[in-house]
Amino acid sequence: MVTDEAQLYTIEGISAALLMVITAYLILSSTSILTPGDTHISDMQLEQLGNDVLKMMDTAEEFDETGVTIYEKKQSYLEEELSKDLSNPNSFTTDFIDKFREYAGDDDKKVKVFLVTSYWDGSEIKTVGCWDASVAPPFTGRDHYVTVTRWVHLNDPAWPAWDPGHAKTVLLEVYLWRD
Amino acid sequence: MAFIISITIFFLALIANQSTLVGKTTAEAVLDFPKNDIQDLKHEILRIREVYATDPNVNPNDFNSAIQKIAIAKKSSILHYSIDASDPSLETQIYFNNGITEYNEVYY
Repeated sequence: MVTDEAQLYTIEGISAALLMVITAYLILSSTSILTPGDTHISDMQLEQLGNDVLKMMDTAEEFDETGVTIYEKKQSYLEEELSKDLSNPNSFTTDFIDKFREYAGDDDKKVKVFLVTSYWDGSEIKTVGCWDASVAPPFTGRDHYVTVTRWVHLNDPAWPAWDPGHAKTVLLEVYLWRD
Repeated sequence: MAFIISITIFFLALIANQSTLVGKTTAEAVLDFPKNDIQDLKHEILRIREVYATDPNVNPNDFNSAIQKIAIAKKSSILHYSIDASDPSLETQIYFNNGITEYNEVYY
């Protein structure tokens, strides 16, 4: 005997099947796709590496008991190097890039480093770059680079253009990219 | 029975569907926060405070204008700090604004 029950089972079966199809669609569409606009996610790792390295370079390696002032006792690598005469960028740039690679891990040979230092001379912002240094990688501006920065306080900068004897806070910008 | 089970699975699928969106927006909000910039500024200001704490000839707030001008030009952000010059160990305020994040901090 065929009764009305069969109709009910059919309706339930069809609506359940429809729901399952919609469920499958929801699950499949829950993935998110990374487009070229999302490159900041991969850039972030290089940025973090750069920030960590600059932080280490701006931290004193040891407490120097022979220093006279607290500045000299806790002087970091960046404070020491940027205070020197930077009119010859070659030696500083070579040293900086070597030191940067050492902290970043020597295995990562592909990282390119380019640096620019900015300071306020009382009336305008001046920059010192490593453009003239032969060791600096060719920097076209079209490389896909990230910028990390570090404020460095110079108690007694020795470079004549930096108004020697007067303390300064300078901004070190480092451009990082991989080939 | 089949209908009840499929409704249950449907709601579970809704949760799975929304969770990726929630995770992504939360992670992006965390990434947008300029953690490194603020930590760097804090380090610099505390360094200035430490160096000139005992120096009566230098006002530790003198570097404000240079920092502000460089920050506007190079970092597109507004920075300001203030160190209590009468006793540098008392109170230090830091203000940071890069257009997206506005941040205040006070150290003692």
